[in-house]
Amino acid sequence: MASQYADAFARVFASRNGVVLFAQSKGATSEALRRTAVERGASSVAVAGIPEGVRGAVAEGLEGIEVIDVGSLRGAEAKEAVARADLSVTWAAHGVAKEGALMEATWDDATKLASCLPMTNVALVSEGSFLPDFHAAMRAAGKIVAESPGPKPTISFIAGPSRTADIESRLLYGVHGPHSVVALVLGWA
Amino acid sequence: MTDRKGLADKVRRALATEGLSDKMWASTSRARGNRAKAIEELGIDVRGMKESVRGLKQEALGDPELPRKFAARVEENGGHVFFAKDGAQAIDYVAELAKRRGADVLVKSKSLTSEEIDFDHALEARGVRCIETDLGELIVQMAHERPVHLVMPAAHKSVADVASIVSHGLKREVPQDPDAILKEVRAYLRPMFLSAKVGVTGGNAGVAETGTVVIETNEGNGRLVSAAPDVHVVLIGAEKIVRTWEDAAEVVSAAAISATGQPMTVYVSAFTARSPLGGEGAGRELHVIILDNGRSKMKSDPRYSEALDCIRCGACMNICPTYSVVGGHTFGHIYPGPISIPWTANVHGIDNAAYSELCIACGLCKEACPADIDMPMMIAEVKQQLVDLNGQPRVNRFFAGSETLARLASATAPLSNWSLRPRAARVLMEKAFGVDRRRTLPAFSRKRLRSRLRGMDAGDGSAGKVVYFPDVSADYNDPELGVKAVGVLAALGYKVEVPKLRWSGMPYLSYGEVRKAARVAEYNVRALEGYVRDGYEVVSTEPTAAYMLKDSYLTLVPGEGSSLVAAHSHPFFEFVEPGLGKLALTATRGPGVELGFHIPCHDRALTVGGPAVRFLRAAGYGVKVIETGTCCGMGGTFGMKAGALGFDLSNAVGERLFDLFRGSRCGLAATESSVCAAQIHDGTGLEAVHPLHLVDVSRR
Repeated sequence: MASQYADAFARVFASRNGVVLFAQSKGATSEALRRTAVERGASSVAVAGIPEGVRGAVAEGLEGIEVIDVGSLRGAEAKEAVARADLSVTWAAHGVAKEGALMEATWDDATKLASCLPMTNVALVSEGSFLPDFHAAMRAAGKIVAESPGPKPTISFIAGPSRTADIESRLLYGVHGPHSVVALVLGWA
Repeated sequence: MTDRKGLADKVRRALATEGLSDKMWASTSRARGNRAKAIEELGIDVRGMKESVRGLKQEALGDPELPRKFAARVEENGGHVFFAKDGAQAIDYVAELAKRRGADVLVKSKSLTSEEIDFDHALEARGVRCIETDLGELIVQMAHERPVHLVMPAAHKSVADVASIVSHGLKREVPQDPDAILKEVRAYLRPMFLSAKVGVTGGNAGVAETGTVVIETNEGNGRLVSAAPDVHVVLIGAEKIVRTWEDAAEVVSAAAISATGQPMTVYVSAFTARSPLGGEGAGRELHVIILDNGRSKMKSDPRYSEALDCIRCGACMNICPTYSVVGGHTFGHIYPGPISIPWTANVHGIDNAAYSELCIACGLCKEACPADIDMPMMIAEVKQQLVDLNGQPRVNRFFAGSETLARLASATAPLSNWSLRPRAARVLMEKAFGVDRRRTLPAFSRKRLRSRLRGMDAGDGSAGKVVYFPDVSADYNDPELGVKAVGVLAALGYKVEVPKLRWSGMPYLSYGEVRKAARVAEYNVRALEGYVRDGYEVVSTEPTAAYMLKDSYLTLVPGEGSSLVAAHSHPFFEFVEPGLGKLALTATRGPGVELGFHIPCHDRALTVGGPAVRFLRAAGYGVKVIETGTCCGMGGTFGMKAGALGFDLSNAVGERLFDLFRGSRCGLAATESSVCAAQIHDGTGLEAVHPLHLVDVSRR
């Protein structure tokens, strides 16, 4: 049973051409990832910024597919490896209900590039992390930045796939960033 | 010296360019529609949003230390800050940085501030190529043009145009298919993002409390530009710095809603420090350039300081009627649209702001602005500066003196009316004064309103006391309207006075005679203040007059008097609506006549036509509100002026409304504004009248 915020998020995110999946267990998470990777024909997947407790489910879901562990790569090598990936799996610190957005906090630009470069980005988000709206999320973001003791993170809100309306106002997706963004809402993490 | 002929030629060319007006109109009307839909669906309190954005901007701009506080935080987090006095300093800084880092190519996401200082060309001249990565910006860069709109830079280009431009730019054939164009652009830019050593972004907000820069994009190019290269340069106007994250949230969400009707843009990114890449931080740099370029001067000038509240959403250009048919290459200098006028005058020089004549003073830009910037008043000030410098063109002098002309024409009526009818007289008038021969001119009444009212029942005062403000039309042209208005007020039990007043003075603002407008306002406020203190309410049937009394006079003659008058002034139908139950309303046309109703621009800030429509419906009419979402194009007397800087441009705007009227099959048009009625009549052939002329009113 999804929370009220997660439900609201799902409605808005889907209306912005995002895809929302719910997973209530580790197994369901692995299965959703596996299915998504297969459906998108992904042969290499960049994985970045996934918290410890979720890594197992991710690894299991991507079994048999080339996985690029972005955190293990150094410097420009990380950037180039991410650019080669067909799909990425990243972590969102919060979901934003009213505006249908994901909030990502990254301390390394290779992690940020993982949600920018591949054609498909699967962002995992805990169902318990949802905030009511953008204003609340910005307050939370400001707090993360202010209270971060060492290097300050970059905060990115992502409200669907990359889009443009610069040609005769026609809505087109995937101009620079992902053509498809899948929010995988985890009820168990 | 203002080159009016050059401006007229530009307008003529824009109107004659096949498809330009249609593309601009389609883009702006879609943006208007999306904004309206978002406001409704998200339940946005527009007034609250305006107050909030305006409040936080004013607070930020009122703190002279804020840019320093912001800079200190950026530096604490390892970033570099450079305060650039002008564009040249900013460009020098970037050119030196590029040289130091061995970068001969930069990638850049959309930055309006960079447009302001002609960043790309200036760097190109220093041997550094700047690649625009926003699709619209890339299209105009490849076409060697300027953006036509702040948010939709290539709104004037068709798919075929874009395919041709991109084919030429990439030196390979690109099909006339948006998806195919997109794939080509993605393939072209991807290696640029990955190989560039320096990336440049703008900043929608700088957050002083943490030294954070917030940017909004839909395409995601801003994220790539800021993450992939080792060096990230932010070019941000000093006015973009706000105090807190909450303030930044307010700014970016107001911008997204107002620009495109999105609850938020697809990407909102906030950078506080340069992050390492793959664990390596060496050589990763963040440079924040805080640009002044005339902003300090604007801040200290009370006429223009509000322009710094602009959040660059483009809503003012989406609603601007004349911009929407000629586009930003004609209605603009480097920045396009209404807000560009004060910016251009201050940042690029007053001589470059002569296109301010294309503003027809409809006031809609202020209505659409999420920061409630009083653009109409600032534009009037720019026009006044131009008049002071170059003198007033004869045609504008003629129309700015409409009150005197009306007095003269009324005193000599009906001779004045007859003398203006023959074609030869109109040709002469066009040549001598610039009054377009094609425009139907209003007839003048020999007997003015106060004479007409002599001996008439002026009400018993049982409901209260009212001053009726006729303005020019109900005094000199159509006093019968004033008689009907007074009759309705008297029937409701109001004691009505029509004291000696001057006109509202709006044409003075339209033609850049702000000081004269202030004198008129002062006269009227002084005349009305005593009545208001004596318990009178002020009522006008002319929406422009009500708007002046309630809004413009507050700026023209600030003080207790104008505040008092504004608080007690009312549009006619809004004022009488609560008492309509006491009256018998009988439609004078019909039965079964359906009216096409037009909302005058100045009433959009007041009643949005609601009470007038309900009045007509209560009298038994079927009423269809017919609107394009912007002005009819008449702009007071603008549409009476000859040629491209008048009638032609006015008609190009009006055509969109005329088409709707023609398609509505309404047999009659109703509108509260005398000049809108003239425009609709001339454009459609329909009889167009004030609602009061369509209803007989008596006490039940």
